[in-house]
Amino acid sequence: MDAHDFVTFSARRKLAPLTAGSPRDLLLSFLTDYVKALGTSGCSIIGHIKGIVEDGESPPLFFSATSLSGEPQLKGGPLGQGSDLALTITVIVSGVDTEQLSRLLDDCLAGYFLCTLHGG
Amino acid sequence: MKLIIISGFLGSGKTTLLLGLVRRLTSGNGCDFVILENEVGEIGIDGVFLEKQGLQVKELYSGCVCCQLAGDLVVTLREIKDVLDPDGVILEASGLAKVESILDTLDRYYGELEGTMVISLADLERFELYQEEPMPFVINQIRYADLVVLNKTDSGDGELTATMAAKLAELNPDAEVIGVSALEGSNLDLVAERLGTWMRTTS
Repeated sequence: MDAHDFVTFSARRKLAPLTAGSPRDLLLSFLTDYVKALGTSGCSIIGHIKGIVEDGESPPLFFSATSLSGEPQLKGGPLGQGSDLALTITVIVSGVDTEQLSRLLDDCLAGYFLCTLHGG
Repeated sequence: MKLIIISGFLGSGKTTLLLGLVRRLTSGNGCDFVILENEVGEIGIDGVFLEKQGLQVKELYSGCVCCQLAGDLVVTLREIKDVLDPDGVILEASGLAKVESILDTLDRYYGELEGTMVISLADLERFELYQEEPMPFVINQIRYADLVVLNKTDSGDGELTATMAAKLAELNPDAEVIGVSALEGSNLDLVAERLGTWMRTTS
């Protein structure tokens, strides 16, 4: 395996939480699901999943995941409850193509957020 | 203007190390730095994080400075020298970068640097990457390092740390290997001291 075996996927999404829970907890649940989904879809190595979630007012929340088994790391925030959120994410993995990465991203987000494409 | 290249596999803690080092170098040595952040993703993430910490950051994203963005690297270094002329530039290379190719680009097309130092991170949490059949670009990162930093020592026991340090020393016998936890800040003073000495004595 070499550098060209890794696939890179970046995306922006606008998120509206589906429940009144803490955005941080919702994000952690989504990330945990996403990592799990990648593992069951043929991903052999998670190089890095990293991103930012912003609500336009609070300090941004940064997240990072580097393994199929460990818990994603979050730092920054806290994000305001009830706000719309802007997600920016980059995924660098092996064994999964960009179409799968995009589809799995939206599938996993849909469990916790109303999700729309976000330009910029 | 000197160049410090921070390389290491994806998620090995390069940004966290960079932040810890630049804070120490700025306060301890009075040096000013510009950060050059390279990410293969189409959208910069780490640059935003570092800017939020008050650092001066230039971004090169959507490719790697060892190949697709090699020309952009040279142009950006020239611009930084002409406009800002800092004591040093700290380049955080993408986690997929082949260090040898970056050094080759600089040798060929940008000879104005006063010195270049490569710090490569190895990730103790992913020690298996360095065993048996390691990825060539990961080995290249270690082989071309002037200083090897074994990160996330807080996550493993002493025996694993020693085994991994020995493996890294085998891959690059000329480089010092320093174990750190960039997240907790442990041993970063030692790495900063090495860099500070290099900044003062290289011309």
